[in-house]
Amino acid sequence: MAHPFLDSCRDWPARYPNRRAIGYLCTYVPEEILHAAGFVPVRLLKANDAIAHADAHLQSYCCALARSALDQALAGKLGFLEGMVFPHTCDTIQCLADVWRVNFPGLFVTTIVQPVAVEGPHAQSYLVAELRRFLRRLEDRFGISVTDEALGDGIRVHNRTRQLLGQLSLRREQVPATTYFDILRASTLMPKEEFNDLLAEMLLAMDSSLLAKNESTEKSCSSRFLTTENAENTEKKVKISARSACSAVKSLFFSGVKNEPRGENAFTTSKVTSRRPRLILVGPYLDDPSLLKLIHGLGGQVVADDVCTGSRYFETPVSEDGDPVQALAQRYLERRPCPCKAGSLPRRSEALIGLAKVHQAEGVVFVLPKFCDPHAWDYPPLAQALDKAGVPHLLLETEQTVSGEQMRTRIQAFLEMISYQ
Amino acid sequence: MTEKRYKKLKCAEDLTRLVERHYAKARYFRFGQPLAWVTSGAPVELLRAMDVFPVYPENYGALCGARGEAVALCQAAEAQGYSGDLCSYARSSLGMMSQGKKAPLGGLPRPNLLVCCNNICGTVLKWYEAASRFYDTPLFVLDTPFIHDQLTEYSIQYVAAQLQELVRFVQKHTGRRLNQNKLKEIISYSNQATALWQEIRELCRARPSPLNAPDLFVNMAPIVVLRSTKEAVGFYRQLHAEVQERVQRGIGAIPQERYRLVWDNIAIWYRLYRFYSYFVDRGACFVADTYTGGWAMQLQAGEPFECLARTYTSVFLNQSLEYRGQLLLDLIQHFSADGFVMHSNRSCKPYSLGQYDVMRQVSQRCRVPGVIIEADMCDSRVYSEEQVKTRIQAFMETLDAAG
Repeated sequence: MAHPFLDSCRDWPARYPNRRAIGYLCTYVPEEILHAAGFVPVRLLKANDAIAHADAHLQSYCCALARSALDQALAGKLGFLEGMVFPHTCDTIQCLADVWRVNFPGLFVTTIVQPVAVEGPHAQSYLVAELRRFLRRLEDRFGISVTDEALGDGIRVHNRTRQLLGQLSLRREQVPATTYFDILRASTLMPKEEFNDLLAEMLLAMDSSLLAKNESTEKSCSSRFLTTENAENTEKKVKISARSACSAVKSLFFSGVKNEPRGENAFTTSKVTSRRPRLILVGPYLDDPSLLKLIHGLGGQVVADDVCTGSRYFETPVSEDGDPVQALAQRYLERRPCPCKAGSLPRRSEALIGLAKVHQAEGVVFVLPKFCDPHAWDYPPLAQALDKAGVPHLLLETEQTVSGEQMRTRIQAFLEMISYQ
Repeated sequence: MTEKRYKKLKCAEDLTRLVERHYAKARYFRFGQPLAWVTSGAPVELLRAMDVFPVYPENYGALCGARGEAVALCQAAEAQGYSGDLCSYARSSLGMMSQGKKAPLGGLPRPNLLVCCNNICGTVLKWYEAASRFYDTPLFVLDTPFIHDQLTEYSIQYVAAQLQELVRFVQKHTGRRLNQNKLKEIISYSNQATALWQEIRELCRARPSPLNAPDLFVNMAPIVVLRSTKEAVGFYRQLHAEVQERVQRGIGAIPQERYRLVWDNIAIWYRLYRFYSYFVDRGACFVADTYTGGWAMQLQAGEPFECLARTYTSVFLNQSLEYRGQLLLDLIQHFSADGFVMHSNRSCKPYSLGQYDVMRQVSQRCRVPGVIIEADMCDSRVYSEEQVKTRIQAFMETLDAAG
């Protein structure tokens, strides 16, 4: 179990009583526009709860993410969201958008039909028009007016998040994999400015903790991140020492966690030097930290990823020059593509082989949720490309949960296999 | 023989010959004419006007399904690492590619071009990209933005601009040019064939209905595979006359029509006759369906690229759940149906996810019962005869009670 907040944004309204939120599922939703309109974009992932309501709406061959997201909404857990935005990615999300609209008739449920042929010469102008329509809908529904200035501001704030997460990823071998993904998860739940400040402090602390390990712990810093009145507390500029930043982050991400695996709950101050096989994770999203714990516990080390809740979330900044909507559109067409996009496979394949080289990875682990068609389609050719490049790989097909003895055995066998190579 | 429970249409043999001739032509008698694999929603008028010969892997999948040969092909695809949860048309196609001429019907001829239009699903994109890698053949992806509410002007412009690209693409790879006069002629054939097909479907408003679901499914082949040809127009004229005659003489598709039903989704190809015979035995006839009407769309008049863009972006599978629910409701009312059956087709997520909500809404609004049957269009391994029979029986009892 991760932190309940990270697991299912359970106490979001209590944490941010004065903030307005709009939900989304996929990184093809322009958070910058929601930010400019005064909303905190909140990304939904699969919660750990058993499905209770969604079975009456979605068949068993629908992926766990769609089923769980709808289930959370039907269970009344997402009442704080003033709307939902669905981009056009896979067929399932396309259907989910309509199912959502049918079941929550008063709610602001809207779609952004992103182009599929992203490399086509006409995709840009189409997408700009589609993004402008989305913007107009937000304005009409909430009676607001979103200026270019506010959009520019949204872009700068999100670029900072991207830049900071990029910096964190450079230090990812100093952070346990679960912490790394928890921080990424937090970035999709918290108001961005607040998250940015927190992560900046943490990065600073990480760097200075390398220099001064023995600074005394300052009390109460951790509470900054967990209390609900943090908005009022921000005036109290707390001077944070390296160690306390670490513990603050720890308490943010790990409170409520029992039996943390040994050695996983602290920052290591230097690169992991022991012989841990270096792995790359590939898949649509990582929604269950227990898999990462399992990999770590069995001696593996995740050094890079091609995951939509991982690097694909924060790479490629938006240009801060020129028209903001044009700049946003440009990013969607240029970014490392989701497998739903035309021409994505060669780009993904090349990027994956590149990652394996740069990070000296010894293996690739595909974490594919069942019924995720686009990723299932790319698996055989990606596996073939890895074979050709001489990179061993493992396929883990996940359903509602990823734990289980079989999973453990497969990971263990894979790690042993690549250790002997 | 369950087939005996059906009144065979006189033109059934003409249909078989027509489809056989199409495949024979594709393989042996093209005389250098370039061949394209196209999706069922591709704007084939443009290709034909550029003298490109289209074949439809989806139709091939349906044929293999109906012949009970799809599972072996699916297994061949699964052996290459493709998940058994992917579309069974696509898996059949991948299996066929790897088996070459040993595949059923000798496989499909190797394509010179691939044209994929995503107005029916996202799967076709991945499928055609796989085919493009396998044959090392150029692929054109026509991106038709999904319509969640209304078709926007900029979507039409986006698609129309891509159609211009498509012409350049075909010209580059085949050297053929677009003949504007031929395009007009072909669009006219398309419209004649679709109008006839639409009229034939309309004739099923009669009591008893002259056609049942298997008739609709079998006879839809030309409107997909040969749409925009003279041959299709000829065939549908003949079919129209025969169906009209049935109506005039009061001949129904099934012996005793007690209930009129509407079908939703693609056919269960490997049980095409047996499945519907369970209904025939209880006097239930499927008088309309949401699927085969999908190809009865008229191309509007006007600038051809814009018309093609508008028409192909608006196909029913490219429109929202609400739209498709309304379509089902309209069919129920228009054809005076007593109930409806929805095939929850594991292979086809965009067509199937959301059916539960559609069923509730439609039942509520027009006060007729509906039922959902879990199956797959081609992969008979996921089909459970007993479960299906139980569902049908329960549904028929509901109908009896309501009637």
